[in-house]
Amino acid sequence: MIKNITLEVSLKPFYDLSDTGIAKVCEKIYFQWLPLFKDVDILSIMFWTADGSEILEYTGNMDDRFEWAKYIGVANPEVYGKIEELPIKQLSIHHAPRLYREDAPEYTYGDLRRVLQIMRRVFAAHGREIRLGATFDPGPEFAKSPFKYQDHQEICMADTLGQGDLKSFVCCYSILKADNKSYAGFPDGIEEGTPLGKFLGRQAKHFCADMGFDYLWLSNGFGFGLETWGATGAVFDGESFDASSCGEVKEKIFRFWTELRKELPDLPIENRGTNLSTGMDLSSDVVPLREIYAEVPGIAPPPNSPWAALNGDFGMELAGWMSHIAELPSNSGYPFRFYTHDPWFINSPWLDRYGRNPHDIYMPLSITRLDENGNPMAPDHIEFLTIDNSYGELPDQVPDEVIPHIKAALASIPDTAGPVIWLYPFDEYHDMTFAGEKLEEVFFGDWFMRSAINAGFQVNTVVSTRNFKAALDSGACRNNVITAPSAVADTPEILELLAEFVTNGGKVLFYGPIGNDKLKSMLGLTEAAGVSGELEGIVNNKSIKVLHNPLYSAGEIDTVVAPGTTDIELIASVTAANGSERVIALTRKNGKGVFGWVRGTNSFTIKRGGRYPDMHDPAVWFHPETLMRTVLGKFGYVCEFDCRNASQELPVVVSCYSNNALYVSAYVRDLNTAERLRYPEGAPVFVQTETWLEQGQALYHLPKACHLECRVFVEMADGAVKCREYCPTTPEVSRRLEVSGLNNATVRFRPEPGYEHSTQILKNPGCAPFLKGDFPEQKIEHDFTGTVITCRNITGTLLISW
Amino acid sequence: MSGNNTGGGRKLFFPARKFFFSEFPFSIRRMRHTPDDYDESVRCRREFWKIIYVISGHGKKIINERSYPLEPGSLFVIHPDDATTFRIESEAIEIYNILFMPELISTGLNELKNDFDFFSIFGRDFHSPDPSYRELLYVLDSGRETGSLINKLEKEYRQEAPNYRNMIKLYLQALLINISRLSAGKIARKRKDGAVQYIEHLINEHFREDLTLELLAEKVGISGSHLCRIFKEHYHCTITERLLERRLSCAAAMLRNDALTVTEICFECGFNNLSYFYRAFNNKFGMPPRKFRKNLHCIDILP
Repeated sequence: MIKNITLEVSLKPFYDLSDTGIAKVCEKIYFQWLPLFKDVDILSIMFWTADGSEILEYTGNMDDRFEWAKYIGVANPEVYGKIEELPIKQLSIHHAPRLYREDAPEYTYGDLRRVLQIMRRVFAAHGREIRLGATFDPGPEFAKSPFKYQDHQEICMADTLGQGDLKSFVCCYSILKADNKSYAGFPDGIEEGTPLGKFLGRQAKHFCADMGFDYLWLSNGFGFGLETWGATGAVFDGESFDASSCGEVKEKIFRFWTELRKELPDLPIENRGTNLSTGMDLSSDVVPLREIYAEVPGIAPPPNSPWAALNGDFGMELAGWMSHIAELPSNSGYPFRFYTHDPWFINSPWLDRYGRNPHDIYMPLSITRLDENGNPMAPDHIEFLTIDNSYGELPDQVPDEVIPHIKAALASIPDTAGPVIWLYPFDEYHDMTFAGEKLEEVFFGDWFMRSAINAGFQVNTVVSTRNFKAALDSGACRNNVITAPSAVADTPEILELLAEFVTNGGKVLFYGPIGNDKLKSMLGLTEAAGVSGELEGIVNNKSIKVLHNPLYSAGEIDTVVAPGTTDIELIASVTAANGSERVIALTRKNGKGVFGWVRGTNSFTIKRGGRYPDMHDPAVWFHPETLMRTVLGKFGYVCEFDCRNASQELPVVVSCYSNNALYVSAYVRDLNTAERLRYPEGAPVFVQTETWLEQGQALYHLPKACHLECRVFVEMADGAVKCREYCPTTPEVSRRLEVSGLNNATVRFRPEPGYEHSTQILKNPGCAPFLKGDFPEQKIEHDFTGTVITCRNITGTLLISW
Repeated sequence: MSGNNTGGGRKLFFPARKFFFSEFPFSIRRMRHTPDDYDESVRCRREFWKIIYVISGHGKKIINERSYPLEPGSLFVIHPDDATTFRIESEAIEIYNILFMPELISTGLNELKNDFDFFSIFGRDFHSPDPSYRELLYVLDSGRETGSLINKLEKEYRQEAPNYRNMIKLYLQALLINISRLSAGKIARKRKDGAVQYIEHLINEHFREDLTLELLAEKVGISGSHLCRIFKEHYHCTITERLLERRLSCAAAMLRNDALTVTEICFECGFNNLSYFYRAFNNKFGMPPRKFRKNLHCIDILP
């Protein structure tokens, strides 16, 4: 249930500063987004006024002018160093910002306050109370900032904009130098050594109270470490981990929050968070997310990051988000954010980056978490960056097109755990990092999961190790697949629960190096001398080459099958130049269930100056991240891709259950790919699609973005099957599906809850109202998600009505 | 050298037509001045260039209100913009005054331009050199060879033997080359930091050209090995590293401009070998230029 909608907006639409001009813009915003927020309790409007320097520089004088975000491009290009003198049109907007319109007005603090007051008044006239949010951004992009880039460069410690040594982003634990200017919270100036958290907190208190802001948003990773966009950070430089600094860095970050909250005790704080994951942030920047969640009052967890919008890295976006919501602050929901426009860089993701495809709506909204009672918990807050574009326009097209997708996604939001549950060691990763132990393993785990998702591994549900027992006890995890880093085995209670889960018929897929002897024994593995570097191997009868760098992959590969082990299916192994063979993926039956394990290699290199890892060329190197999908196939969840060559980018697929239907959302990066799908229930035949069944799998050519409902699963020999939404034609029926092309098939149908016993299945139907004919025998069964109706030996057409 | 501001007196300007014929704008005269026949408060400027060479006596030459010692062997090249006077401290002072218009040597000037940038001062557009640069023109110990060249100039001018004008041009060029070498040597010998800073200046301004260690050494008039040593002492990196750094940083900046191809940028920044450029770039930035450019485009982050 969505409780809060946030519309983010810059001041650009408010270029006419007359009261009437301001009110006109407010009215437009109201009516554009009314269809979405009309049934939602809280409406928030968050202002990208400047870059937060308007808070830092605030003196309390309403007549003071401030630099606002009136540019297109990076407003402080001097952070890039000397710019070659070229005609402005030959320079990118990152290096030569331009005014968004020639008549851009000057703003005083009084003007800003007036905009907010009129905004409240206009919405109140329609009967809506609103929350108003202020923003603080650590970067140089949005507004000119003498504070950050002239007077107090000491607070810019991060090289977020790359390359090499451009200190362009403010770090939360920076310390201010003395300054004798007068500020609202510091009328006598800043004392040497004042922590930024203290300064920002007190300034924000004055600024928000005087302007009328109800909450503060910390943008772009501010408050969560040093390098919030990169794989490296305060304790990982791309070449080694500095475990000795972990305690100190953690304290610095936490101290920022303590100092901020001491000055700003009551104002709610919402966060953008970093663009990475809990484990990545811990291993590179020692970000104590657990402590921030637990001990900083009035704080909201971060939303999904914008990787899908920027470069289609859904693996990063989804893995990062799941890791951040595995645990939450007490009594907190969590937000989903969608990227409609960008007010500064002439891009409107909905229109251009996404190309009006809704993949970054349906896929994140197919994600869920299991709470402390084991219940699925969807986001309760949706944020839109932003409702205005870089020219200050508010095009109707965007809300008109986006809102229906948002509503459709919410209508199929997961209401139970999905097929694959990520058991996330939220506590363990924190403990390991703070102890300065196994940083490589913390680093490895989330990066590996990110790349596995990018390689088509379907996972939509996250549960923390803290909530896992409750989830098992509640029945939320029954026969689903649980995937977890092998590191969880170091917590004996968790290993015991997983062993019991498998014994009773569950499936568990571990990934990563195995240090725990008990787990090694369960998997039938034993230790051997480690191998790394260029390795050769065989997967699916094909020769492969793997490049395994122990730094990124938590050590060398050092396991072999223990002598005398039975019930093992070996999926992949590698051989070093000296002939040493090591196993890298297997399954092993155990009781009624089965274990799977993938050793895992992070198939990338982090180069000096690079913000992000470079994946190894897939035309040369096999990516062991794909083995996660292979093992999942062994568990009954087949997702294979037909590609023309190894360089083809793979689709990202997320499956979830809602209303007892399976929903498959995908982002197909390369439309030359064909997808072969099968679930334990059979080959999925999506509503309103045709598919060719081949060797038990359904062959699809999915579009760039899709969110497909599946209630019909078929097992039969090769052939074409079609599922058509048929009109109800009778008041007593709400929906009908017609499934045709069946040939001695077993058909499994997932009925809507409440219709388990009233669903009517008619074979080779005649004419409406379809009350007479051949009604095949329906066997009603229950799997881990809900009810399944099975009909066997069906040839011809089925009409399923409810 | 110390400042001595006596610039409040009379000012005289000497037009070229009063000193030589327009078809051959050159003269050389031996002069003798005593304190009595010289008014120190008068500031003289000219339409032409002037070289003063001290034969005997001592005192101060005041140029643009800065005073420089006058001793036998001292030599000053006076720019037309310079305001000058003497302070004679001995019974008398004997000098050679060599006056000329730059056109006289313009034929050979282009070929000489690269030598320490010295000859660019004779260009028409050269008007406001900074004081430290102007000092390159004042040689306080010009040596025997200079004296000998001046004697030959004087002899040719006086005797007017066949082809004497060509000989004068050649001797004048030889004299100026000699002065340029002495100036560079002076910088290198007396101001080691100045020499390395001058090399740094040359690298920053001329990195796009084909700069070699030999050329740079020649420009400051000291040996390549010595130059390398003092440069490294000062900047903790070699001249080659510094030059490469400057070229690469320019290349990185230019990669922000999509209008230029990587190959164009490579040659524009002074590299003459594409594969070497790629290797060097990769080594510094950890990625090839195209990837660097692509990454630059990725910095449009969403907050």
